[in-house]
Amino acid sequence: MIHPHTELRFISSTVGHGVFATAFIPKGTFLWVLDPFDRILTADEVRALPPMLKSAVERWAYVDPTGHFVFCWDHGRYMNHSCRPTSRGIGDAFEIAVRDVHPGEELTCEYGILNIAKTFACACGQPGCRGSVGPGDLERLFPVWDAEAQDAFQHAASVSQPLLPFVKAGPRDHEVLDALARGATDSALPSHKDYRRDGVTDGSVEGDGLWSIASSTPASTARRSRRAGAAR
Amino acid sequence: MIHPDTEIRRVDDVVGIGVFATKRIPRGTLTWALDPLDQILAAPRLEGLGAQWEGWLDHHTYHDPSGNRVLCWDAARSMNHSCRPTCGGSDLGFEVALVDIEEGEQLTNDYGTLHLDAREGFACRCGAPGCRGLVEPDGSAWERWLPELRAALALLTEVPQPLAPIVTPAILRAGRRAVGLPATAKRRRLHAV
Ligand SMILES: [Zn+2]
Ligand SMILES: [Zn+2]
Repeated sequence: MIHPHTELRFISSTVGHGVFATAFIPKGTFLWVLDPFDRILTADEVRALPPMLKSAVERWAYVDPTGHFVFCWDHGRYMNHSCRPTSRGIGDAFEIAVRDVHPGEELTCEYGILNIAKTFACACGQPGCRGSVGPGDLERLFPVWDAEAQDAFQHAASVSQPLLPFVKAGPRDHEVLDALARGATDSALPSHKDYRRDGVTDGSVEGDGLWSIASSTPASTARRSRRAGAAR
Repeated sequence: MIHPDTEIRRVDDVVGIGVFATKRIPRGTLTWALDPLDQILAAPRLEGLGAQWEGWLDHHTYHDPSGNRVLCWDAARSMNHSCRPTCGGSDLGFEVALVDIEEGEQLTNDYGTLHLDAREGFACRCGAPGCRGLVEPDGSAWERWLPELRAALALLTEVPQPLAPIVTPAILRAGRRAVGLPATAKRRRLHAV
């Protein structure tokens, strides 16, 4: 679920839509949380959809570490990538504002974390734009992303969190929620590197889309939970 | 899924957003069809939700005839009410343009047909001729639009149907039967554009 003080706006026919703040949202606020109505689809379920719906999922869903497609029910699915995003991911269920977001500012996230299958050219225009965003970025940049999330989380207990009642928390997210409830906002957070889906490297998956419908690797779920355990 | 020639636009601060035609949509065009990305929330799932979801359910879902809540994944859930709606038929699993919807005109439903519960009535300011003023749970809403629905569904094979890939022939046959049209009068296919 996307933060209530946001709205969908049309940007251009190249970019499509984006999500914009309608009010001031302070650093440390969860800008998005996974909720029970975000659809989690297997690659086979996506393949079975009528073409019009399949292309909607391919365009607006992202791929989680188990290779499932997450199709947000609300306008959260229109968040665009930026090389200097307004939020960083924490665990499976949170995007946290890493700086204050002002009314009219676009909410952006990092697609490099989302198990993309193909490198795409980025024209985000932000200082430090990488020019292209690819599957290998996560391995290289996760320490920077982790540090930003960790820094933002220090503020999480002292700002209003309208999305908290709606989270669908996974195991790693419960640790985050517990830390928040205890006010232990300096606790070590799950690392971005654990969001990586096994076996995703440039060219290793079928298809042409940003999130190609890859052949499922049944072992990935088990391996993932072991790694998540080790991250604690 | 909502007709592709539509977009969300802000109406005003009271109504919020609505769904508008970006091209002319002729009468008899399928304007919406229930699809696999729409979520049908049955009673057990609804009962498991905390109180924090109550307002959300009212805002984003509608009741189907079986008492489920339906959450549409796309702009369909932002369609506003009108006492003189441009679309109708949701109980059939699809909706059809009851009139020619001109470019820039809003796609609307009669919420009276959407099985409102007792606390969901509201004062209407749709401004349509014959506005009921108060939109309330209304058992006769379906009958009210039956002649328009019948006339619109008779045109199904006469107009382009971008949503044809989403609906099954069985759903369309059942819809035609429900409004009193012969289910298989013509074996002509829809023009999927
Ligand atoms: Zn960039
Ligand atoms: Zn009215």
